[in-house]
Amino acid sequence: MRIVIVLSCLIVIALLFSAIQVPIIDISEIEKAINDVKSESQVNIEDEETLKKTVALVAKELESDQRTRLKYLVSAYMIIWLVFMLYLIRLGKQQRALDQRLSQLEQETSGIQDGSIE
Amino acid sequence: MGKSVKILTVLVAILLFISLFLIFGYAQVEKTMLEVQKIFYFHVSAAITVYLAFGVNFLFSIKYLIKRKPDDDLLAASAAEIGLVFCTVVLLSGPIWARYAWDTWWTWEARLTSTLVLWLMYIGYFILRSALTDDKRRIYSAVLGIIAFFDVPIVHFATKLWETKMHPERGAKLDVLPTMRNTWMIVLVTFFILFAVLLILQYRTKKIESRYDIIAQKHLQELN
Repeated sequence: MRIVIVLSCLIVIALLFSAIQVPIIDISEIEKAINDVKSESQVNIEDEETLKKTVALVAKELESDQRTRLKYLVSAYMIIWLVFMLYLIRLGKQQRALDQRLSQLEQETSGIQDGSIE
Repeated sequence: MGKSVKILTVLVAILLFISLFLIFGYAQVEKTMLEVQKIFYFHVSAAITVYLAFGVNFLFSIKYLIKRKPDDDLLAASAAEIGLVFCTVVLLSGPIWARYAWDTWWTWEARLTSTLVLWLMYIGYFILRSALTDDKRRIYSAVLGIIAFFDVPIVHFATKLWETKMHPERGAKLDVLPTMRNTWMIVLVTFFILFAVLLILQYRTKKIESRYDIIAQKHLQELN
């Protein structure tokens, strides 16, 4: 039971963290993309430096927004998983306590049958 | 644990991992809410499973009051307990969605409030059960189970009854893509099977507990 719970938690954490990897766009990629667009569309860009800065800022803003959304998403799934796991642990404890009570009762009743309890 | 329960448990575990894979790897990102919309798959499925669980509690509570069989009371209590777990999932995952969508963790909107009332009523159900013994416990909790279930249709029709605009109205046309619909259906089926497995496990535990109490009482009488 414990192994299943720990294993499932590890798998879920790994799954969720792999799902939230936001691709980070650096300035060299932005420059490359602008050059590609320029060569493909033949657009004449007058102030290339300002354009690069603007695109970099937009990319940073989009990344930050995405990170925030993914934080909410991962938190929600972590909490859901935690609730289910806590309930499973509670079920397991309930079963173990019941097993103990049953074996105790078994011992006591076998004592009566043997005549050892007056 | 019986063989069929073991098979169902393994099936649920596999389906849960498939569900997670589908949510994060297959279902497309919704255009308005973007990634946060993916909370919807577990949140809504859990909410529907709450209806199912409390529905089972309602039916077996009525059955107990008619036939007075203790097994029906045990089934009703087991279903209520699992319903409460799923309701907790709904109440905890909802505010995270709300924080992004509505810019607040909680608002006293009709559906949210009626869901909280539902959760509190079933908390009361278990407080009542722990406070009373045997026949009184069974009868009073069955009555409370029946009364509490009347909040389920209120939760479901809340958006229509109070015309709130926060949750989508029942039957509203949503822009749901096939990948999203398929994923949601699989998650819903998984939750239904999970409910069935937990119900069987909880019912068996409660039944053994009640048998133990009967045997222990007889044993005490024999000793005296």
